[in-house]
Amino acid sequence: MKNFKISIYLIAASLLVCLPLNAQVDSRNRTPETVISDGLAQLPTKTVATYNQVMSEMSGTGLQGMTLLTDMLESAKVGETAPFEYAINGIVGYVSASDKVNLRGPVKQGLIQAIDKSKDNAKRAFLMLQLQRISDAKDASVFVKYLSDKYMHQYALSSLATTPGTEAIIKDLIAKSTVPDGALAYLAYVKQLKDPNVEQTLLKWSASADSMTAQNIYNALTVCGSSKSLNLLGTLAARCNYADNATGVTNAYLELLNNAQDRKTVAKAAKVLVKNDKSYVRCAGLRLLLKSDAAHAKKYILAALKDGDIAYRNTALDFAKQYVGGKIFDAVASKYSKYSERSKTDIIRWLGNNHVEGKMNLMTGAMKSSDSVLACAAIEAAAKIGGKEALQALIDQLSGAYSKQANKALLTFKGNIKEGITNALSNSDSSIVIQALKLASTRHMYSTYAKVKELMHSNNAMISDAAYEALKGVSTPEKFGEICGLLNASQEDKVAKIQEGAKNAIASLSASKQYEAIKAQMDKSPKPSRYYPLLAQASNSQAIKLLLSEYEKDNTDLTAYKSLLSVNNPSIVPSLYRIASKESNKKDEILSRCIDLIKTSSDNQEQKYLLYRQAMGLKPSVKIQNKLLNALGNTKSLQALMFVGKYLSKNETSSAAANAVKNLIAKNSNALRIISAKQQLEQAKTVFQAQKEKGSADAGYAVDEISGLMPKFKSDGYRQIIKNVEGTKVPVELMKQTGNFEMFVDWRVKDGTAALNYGGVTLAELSKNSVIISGMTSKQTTKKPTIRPNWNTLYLKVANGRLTLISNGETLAENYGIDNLSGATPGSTIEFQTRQGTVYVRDAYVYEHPATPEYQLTTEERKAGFEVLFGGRSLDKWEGNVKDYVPQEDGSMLVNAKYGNDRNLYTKRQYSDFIYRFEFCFLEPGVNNGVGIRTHQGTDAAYDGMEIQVLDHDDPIYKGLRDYQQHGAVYGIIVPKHVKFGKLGTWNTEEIVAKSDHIKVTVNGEVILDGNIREACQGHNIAPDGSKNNPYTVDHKNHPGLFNKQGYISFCGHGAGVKFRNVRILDLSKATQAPNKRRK
Amino acid sequence: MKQNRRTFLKTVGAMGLFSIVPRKVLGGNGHIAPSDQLTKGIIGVGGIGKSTSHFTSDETYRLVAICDVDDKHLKQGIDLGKQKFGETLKAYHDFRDLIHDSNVDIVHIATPPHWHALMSVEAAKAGKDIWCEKPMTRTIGEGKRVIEAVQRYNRIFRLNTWFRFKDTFYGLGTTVEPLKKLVDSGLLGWPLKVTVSGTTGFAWKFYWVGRDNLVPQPVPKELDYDMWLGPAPFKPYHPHRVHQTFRGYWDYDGGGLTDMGQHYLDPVQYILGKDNDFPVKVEADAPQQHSDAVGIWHKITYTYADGCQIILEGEGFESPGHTPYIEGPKGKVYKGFECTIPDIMNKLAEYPDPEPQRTDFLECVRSRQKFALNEVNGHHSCTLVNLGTVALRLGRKQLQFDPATQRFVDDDAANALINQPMRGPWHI
Repeated sequence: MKNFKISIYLIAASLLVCLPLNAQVDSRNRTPETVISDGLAQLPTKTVATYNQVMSEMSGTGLQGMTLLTDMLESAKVGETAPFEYAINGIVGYVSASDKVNLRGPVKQGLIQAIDKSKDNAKRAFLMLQLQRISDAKDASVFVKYLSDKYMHQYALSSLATTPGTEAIIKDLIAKSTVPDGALAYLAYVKQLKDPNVEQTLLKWSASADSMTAQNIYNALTVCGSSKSLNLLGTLAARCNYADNATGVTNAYLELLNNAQDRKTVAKAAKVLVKNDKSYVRCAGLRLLLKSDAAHAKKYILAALKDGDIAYRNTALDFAKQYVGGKIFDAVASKYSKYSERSKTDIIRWLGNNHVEGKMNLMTGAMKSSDSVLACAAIEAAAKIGGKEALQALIDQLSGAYSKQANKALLTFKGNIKEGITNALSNSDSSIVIQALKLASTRHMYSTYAKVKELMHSNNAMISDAAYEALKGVSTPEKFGEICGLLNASQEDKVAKIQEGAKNAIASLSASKQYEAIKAQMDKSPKPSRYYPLLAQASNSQAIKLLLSEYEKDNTDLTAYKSLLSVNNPSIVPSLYRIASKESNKKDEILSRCIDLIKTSSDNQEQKYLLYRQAMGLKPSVKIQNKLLNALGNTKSLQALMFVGKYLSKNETSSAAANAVKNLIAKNSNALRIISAKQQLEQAKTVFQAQKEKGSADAGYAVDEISGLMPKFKSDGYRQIIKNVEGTKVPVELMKQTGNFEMFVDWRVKDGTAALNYGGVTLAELSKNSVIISGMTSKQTTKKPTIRPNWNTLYLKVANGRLTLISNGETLAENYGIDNLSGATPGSTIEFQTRQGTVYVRDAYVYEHPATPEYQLTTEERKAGFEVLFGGRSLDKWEGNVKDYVPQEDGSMLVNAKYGNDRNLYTKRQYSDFIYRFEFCFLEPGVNNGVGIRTHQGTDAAYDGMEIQVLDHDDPIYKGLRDYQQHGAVYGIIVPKHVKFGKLGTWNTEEIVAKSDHIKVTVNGEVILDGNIREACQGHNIAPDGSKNNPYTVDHKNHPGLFNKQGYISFCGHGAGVKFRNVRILDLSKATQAPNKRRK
Repeated sequence: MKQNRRTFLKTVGAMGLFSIVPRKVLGGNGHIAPSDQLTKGIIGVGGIGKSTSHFTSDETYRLVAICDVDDKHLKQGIDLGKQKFGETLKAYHDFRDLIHDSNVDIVHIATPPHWHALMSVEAAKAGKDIWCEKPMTRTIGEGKRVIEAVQRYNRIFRLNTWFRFKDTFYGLGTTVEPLKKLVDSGLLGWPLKVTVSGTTGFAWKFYWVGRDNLVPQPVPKELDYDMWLGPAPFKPYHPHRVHQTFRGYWDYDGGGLTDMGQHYLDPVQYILGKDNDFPVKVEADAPQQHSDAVGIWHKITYTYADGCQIILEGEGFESPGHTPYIEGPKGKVYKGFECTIPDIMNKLAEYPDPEPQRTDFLECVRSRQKFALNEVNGHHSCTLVNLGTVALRLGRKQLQFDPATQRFVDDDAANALINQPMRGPWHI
């Protein structure tokens, strides 16, 4: 096709003319267009590191790159602007860093040009906000220009406000404006302009300003205002009696007073304010008074404390230290007695808040006050301040009306209370002793053990009681034997307290040590049942076993029962279930406890599901059912989801079930594959909807969340095949029999073993003790699977002859190859088959995937000798990045590879001349890949060998794309004819023929390139003068490996989002080279 | 002068005829003196403002007015008031009218965060006490203005998150108090590293992400969109910007970080004793953010001058393995208060409890004492959140912060996000 070739040269020539020979390229030899396209294809970046890399490259393209981007943004349709917004926002953010100042010039230039050119308001606004982030005073003229643009006004204004160095320009604008301008006044305020001329203009404006403008003017005057402004604002504020009106003049006046230098004037004004009828104005005035007349601040504070307004008094106190200094505390204290009880309360709190020491006489006095508020304030303050005096004062308060407050205060007391409390244990006042016992115990004052023990025998019953109670806080392991002695001998009414003491004595020991100690005491005790609560604390397996056997001896023994319920070890759950199933009156209590134990256990979520479901099977009350539903809702288990759905239709459980359904679907995207889950969610929505209508905001959120989830459901997925079946052989019938499926199911066997078969091949053997994957040695099984005596749950996936199996939440096989499995034939079923006994199967859900197609060579291809390189299932003939080119069930390979040379996939063999056929499909806009030929592994095929471009080249991000970068190009060497692709997701066919220097590319049956690489560059793949600039290649670059005789064929990943399939090759060298050799 | 309830209270108060005594001290006979009754108005009744915990009214704390710029919300609010308390609430469209309603003592701000600071300042100027929902403010600069205004008029300000003083603190499994006690005891050593992550029991709710490529849509007639935007830059309307999904846009909020940030971080600040301190460094690892729509993030790290660190791990980006919630040189605490120090609860009993906090808001209003979580410590913990959003928005790997000036070191673009100009005529 000669004509075509000529046209290629013509295009190349015209490019030569329009491209300056010193065209800017980056360190990787890329033009600005390529850098921008490559960058856009990677946005938004996933990490900060990639961000900095991409933005550094993109911002390096300067004005050219910015112009490309802003043009793309301008021509992007509404709803398609995001890629360019990410890029521009990213570049601006990148150059806004303080060490990137030198890069800002061209970026700003590009933005300014774009703002002027743009015809779209939202885009102009976006661009100006970007410019704003990196602008300086030199750009102010741009903003000034747009102040008069109605839409852009607000953006121009905020830009002038944030741009550093615009003060002079703003002053100038203010001077020139003949009418009051609220916007300029706002700028004067934001920029904190302190300028007499500005003030003069603003004052002039204020005469004729509306309230909105006036507000801005008054605000600006708070910065630049002199006495003139103060007079004006003062007069205006007085006129409205210092109220907060629409112009905000009172606040402005207060602010100006705060900023004013003339203290006398301020003080005078403040004295007026403190007489106002509004409490908050008086407070503001008082603060100004204290600030402006610091010399008399003390006097003002002392006077203010006599005021009837609590807010006013506290304002005085709040700012007292700031304006008078530390001596104010003494001053106030010396006048303390003269104040009202209300003022005293404020003062006491203030001293406490400031942790002022040395005023304990006031506190002790206040504690004795008949005014309860004052007394309580003093107790609280004393604890904050601390010290010996305070401690004694508080201990004294342990007896009396405020003993509770004093007790609490002592617990938070700043400092050591041990000595004081120990002494208080010997106090003659029994109330104090009782409270001291409580404190000694709470604070674990072990040294008081002997004293506590002594007080247990007190004649005063209340003291004795308190001492027994206190035992738990002061007992240590060494005292355990002694306490057990007490326990054996004790009256019934003291037993519980001594048990607490005994428990705490050994609480710091390990569970088994505890058990040993308890068992030793128990064996010699006349009353072993008194040790049950201690066993419950130990909670190890021996303790549990002992408790259970004691209970089984006599199930009317409530001591043993209660202790069983307080065992803190989830392994007790099955035993408790057994008891619950027998004793229905205890069922609820037991199951409630079990749920709490399971929640905190380390079992995985599937196992928790099994346990909760088992509990539900015991038919507890509605209350427990709801508790179980809530717990099931947190398991993320698909079986749990299907199970809780049954409770949606019952009124008394619908709310908890709806919540569980919503949570389970939101937290497990696989749920969106269950056909019936969608109906469940719809049902849940109805439940929430009803609650929402009753005014529940949370239900409103739930309805919104569900509305968001609804459209995410898939049309194909899991269907229930079995509800509940038992037998020696349980088949799970498949409908499509494609060889690819997923299933989740619950099973159990009582005795013997059940084989899990598919298509006559055994996948695994299930028994009471284990799940064994076919052909897997014990070495391959990393740990022993957990099997439950009751139901077990199983997930399995069979795809392309490989098995994934998860048993009770534990992954036992992942993509594991099982012999003969890939040969599964149509008609196959899944089947549970026992050798002996019965297998029980419930809730089998199966999702049959389509079969994986495998490419079959056409008759023509087979005759010619083509070889399949990738037929749909295996990457056996490939090496390199096999991880990121993933065979899919649809027979394609999906590219997940990121940008870079080490991300490529290579053939295992090398080829020289060949016909290479494949199909490709773009999944994301702007995807970039390529077929490298005659290349080495790990190099850039575009320059080492050739890269036959694969590119979604009509995406807007490739607006500046050169012809030699289009799809099908011999990259940088020969320009192809432009291919028009179908929608994303369309498959295209391609054939690349490489025969010596002759390359031919056919896409979708049309030849788009047919050329000679040697002729294309007139033999100069490298510039004759050795420079970087090669006038002979279309892209003006050197292609040192262009004439490689042979090499690998590769897929060059430049980002994810493309699929390939049906890759096959005919090696032409086999046919042609052999005779050549013979001739030599 | 018209004798309304407030002026009645004031005159009586000025005459010193009554004394305010907490009812719990008196024991309470069921009768509520008028001096004990405080009134509130809620601004924003489309979301949290309408929730059961806030849309309440009783004789101690009476709801008298509501405000919303969406007529539908307003109408629902009025109906709810009738239904729940059998009275017709005063309904306002413009929050300034509610703030100036002389029957309102306390202004409850339950709007999106871009309004919080402005309304707080306006309420303070009108002499009202303030209950503000989290996050306190959208920028660090706004937080400073709130402090100024609240203190100028000596108002009582409550920032509404409460974990520093009550309720089970997410993954901790207990209230914050024992953790505070543990840290204060020094048993863990110093400095400490706190990890706020899904694995330690704190999920970041990444469903609050915004959408790019929004196609403008007509504004519903019940919504005053201009007033909804208020100080935020004008952008064409899309329903995803407003109401339940506004958190996904930087102009109004900052996604999962700002939604849960102050809930999670304020208690950490309290535990570490950093109520008057700021970090000196913030580091962010995140996918690139859109200029308008908030995205997700992987990890944000705050470092204080003394070496204490707070690490946030985004949902789905948790570090593998068993991560401690707090890690110190001498011990670690995990989710559920699991501690590497054996027998920790018994050991801890020997130490004093943390200093009591003032947690009864109405009592604070009456006694003019600062609430436990007020404008000052609230600003500090909100600054943690806002430091994170700045780093995310700029795509900066790290930013240095100067606690003394509350400005970033040597980064103009970051400092520009401390004070973001408001759209006229709004300003604070």
